[in-house]
Amino acid sequence: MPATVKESKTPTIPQNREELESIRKKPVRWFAPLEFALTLAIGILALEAYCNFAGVGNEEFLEPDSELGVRHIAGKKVVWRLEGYSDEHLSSQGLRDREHAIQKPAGVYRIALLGDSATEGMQVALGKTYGSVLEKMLNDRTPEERNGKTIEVLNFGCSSYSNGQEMLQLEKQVKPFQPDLVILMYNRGDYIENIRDPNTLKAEPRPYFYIGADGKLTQDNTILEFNKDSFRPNPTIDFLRRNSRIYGILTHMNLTLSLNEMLYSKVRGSLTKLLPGSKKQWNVQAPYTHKNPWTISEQIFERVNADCKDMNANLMLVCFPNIVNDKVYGVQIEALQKQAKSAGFTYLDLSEDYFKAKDPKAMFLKYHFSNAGHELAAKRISDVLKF
Amino acid sequence: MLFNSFTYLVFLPFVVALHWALPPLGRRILLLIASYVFYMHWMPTYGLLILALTLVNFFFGIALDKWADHKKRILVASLIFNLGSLCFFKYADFLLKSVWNSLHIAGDFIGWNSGLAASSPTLNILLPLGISFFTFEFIHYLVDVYRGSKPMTNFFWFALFAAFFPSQIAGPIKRFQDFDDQLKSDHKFDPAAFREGIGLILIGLFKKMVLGDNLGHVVAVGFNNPAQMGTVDAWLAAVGFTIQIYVDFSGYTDIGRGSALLLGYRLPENFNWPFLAASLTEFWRRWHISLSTWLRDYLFIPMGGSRVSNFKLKRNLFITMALGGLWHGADWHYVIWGMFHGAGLVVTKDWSDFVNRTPALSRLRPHFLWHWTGVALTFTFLIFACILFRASDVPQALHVASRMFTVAPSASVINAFLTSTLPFSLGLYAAFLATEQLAKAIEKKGLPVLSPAMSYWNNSWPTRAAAYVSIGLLIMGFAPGDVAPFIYFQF
Repeated sequence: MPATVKESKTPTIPQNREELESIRKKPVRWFAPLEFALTLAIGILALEAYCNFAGVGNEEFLEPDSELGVRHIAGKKVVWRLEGYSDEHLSSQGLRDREHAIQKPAGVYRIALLGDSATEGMQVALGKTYGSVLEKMLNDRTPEERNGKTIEVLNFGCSSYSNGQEMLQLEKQVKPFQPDLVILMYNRGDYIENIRDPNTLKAEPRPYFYIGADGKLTQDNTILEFNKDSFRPNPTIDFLRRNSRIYGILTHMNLTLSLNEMLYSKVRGSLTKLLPGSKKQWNVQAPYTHKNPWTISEQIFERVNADCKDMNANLMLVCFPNIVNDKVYGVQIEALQKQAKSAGFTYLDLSEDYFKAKDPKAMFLKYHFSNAGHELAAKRISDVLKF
Repeated sequence: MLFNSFTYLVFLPFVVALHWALPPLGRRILLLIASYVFYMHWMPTYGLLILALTLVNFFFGIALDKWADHKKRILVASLIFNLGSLCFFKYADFLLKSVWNSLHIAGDFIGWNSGLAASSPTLNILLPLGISFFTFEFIHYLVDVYRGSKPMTNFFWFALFAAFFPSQIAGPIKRFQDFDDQLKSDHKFDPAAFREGIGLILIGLFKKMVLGDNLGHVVAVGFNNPAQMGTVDAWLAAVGFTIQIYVDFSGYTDIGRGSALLLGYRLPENFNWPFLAASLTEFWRRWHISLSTWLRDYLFIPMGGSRVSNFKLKRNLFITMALGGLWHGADWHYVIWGMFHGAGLVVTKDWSDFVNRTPALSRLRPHFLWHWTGVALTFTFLIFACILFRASDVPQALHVASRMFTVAPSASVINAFLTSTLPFSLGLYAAFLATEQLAKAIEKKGLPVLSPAMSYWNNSWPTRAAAYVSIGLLIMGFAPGDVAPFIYFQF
């Protein structure tokens, strides 16, 4: 076995100035935090400027709302790149639309669109959403065909909205605009968003619904109440949400990581528990169970129809195309058709039109309508409308 | 575990911190455990596969050294074992599909109904990540031991060589002599290497997440709907993929090399400005260097290399590249991609010989226009080769290539490019490269202009930390929302 020679640890004499500097005891950098803060501030300002120039970090367009859960940030500039592309401002009333006067002008027939991201259409330019295309198509008709009226289409669509939220939005936000027709776009999976798991408080902050002991549709605000701290006005956060690109980047990253990284969700969950006020005592168990979630959707549409009648408007229910031939959705579409017939509102299923299209794949980007998809939806709705 | 994932963002600092807190022996043990955790995070069962392959190859290495009289037979057995494993996991379905399709074609030709289903059955073998890379490392190890190198005698350190997580999934393909030397060296924390490592990781993440992933979306618009592409769309999609594969793969290598540097190890360089190559021969000296040198040392030279007749040399080049193509992926379009490169190298060789024989042309060689014409022609060749690489099959590749020469109005890919963050991020990257080259030029000339700034940068950790945070935010902002795996992970 070869003998191992252990290297001696005798101090060596520095051979040059650099070596001397390296072994000299370094002074304590008491200003290090200041140096860090200053450099970071410069970095952040430069990044804010470049992101603003490049339209990055502008995808944040929702803010908390104590009644609806979330709402559009009025007047916010949004550059959307997550799927498709758009670069526009939300209106001063918080619509993904051009500016509209609240008071309906004389000679105008107003159509209010309700729905989620499919109606909001952030994935395409504003002028290409089915709302905008529909307005153009209808106004291109002869005055006789539109009964001498000018048609105005108002897009109230908002990402992540459930039918329940759309119903409350109709009663709160849409009513003052005095629509003559309300078009609600129903999407696959919407019905599940109206209800929550009664055994947990982990749910999207929004109003939920259940059928009460009296058999009537009842609102469950438990999750909104549970998250009420986040609805309190916070000038700093509000300012950052509206103006900071880096804030937009961080919230976007938070969303992406929450969706894609299980470890991130766990770490975040553990850290959240450490925050003050997180140990609130809440009765997790809701005083109800969901026997048939679909009845909740039916009752919501019943109430939407009644609301429309109250404001002298008609209701049209449009079903988003069943592109994946989902059997459950197919059953829902049939049920909605029956309900429309018995309750007397208009009903339109877009599925067949999409399957008949020359290139059905071109109608969609990933999950949402492409320009061609919006145009086809507008055309089909326009075909049904008579004045 | 993906380098561009939150999990790795937690994993790497944890391993690095623990690594430097431990004594040398503990560090190696930690790295071995961390490498297996890294690999098994993807699929725990395949940890057993890499362990079994390591164990068998370790004993093959010992046997080659111990029983020198039988070393040829041992080497053949070891090659059969390694290539057999690779074939089973990577090529079994491909072979089955090829045989199946051949039977169909033969049946159609002679008018015989084989009664076989139209689509071939699949064995549903899940390809273990990085198997092509670590198989090549094993083969290099065994061949070198056969040629006289001393084998690694400690199984655990051999296992670390095979599983070292910064290079485990997609290389660079390491040489065991170099790794063994580093393993045995007394690692001391080197602040300069640490800084270089963080820099490489950030550059790699920028290349992958900001440039590569955004380019991936733009390219997909074209390749998913070739019929909708206009002329410019098709060119943009093809050029986009050529750049995407570079930034994706070199980004991966940068992150791997950077991670290794944080742990005190230096992995070989894999890229050296490949798109500035003035010929295809030069390109392969600059692109995926660890693979091209492997192919040279363990395939091309054993076949006779360049010390054979002109015909055999060309044949060797062609076979080497065709097999290199097959190594990339189990599909015919990869084989054709390799053959395309092989044919390109043969033509380059002939052209080079012709120029050497023609004094008038030889005199033109030093001219800068000659050089840049070579760069442009090589890049154009690569664009067409990359279409074969990106396409899902040969017909799609031909479809995309045909769109490049069909005069048609463009919109889809151009729109996807212009509405992405790429115009801004490519501009930023170009500015970074220009600044880097300028700084290097100044340094080379010995001008002291940058010395104070560099000295401040090297000595001020708060400034560096703040800069790293800012760059991290920049990467997050400009990257698309989805986490895409590295292209070379599929190989």
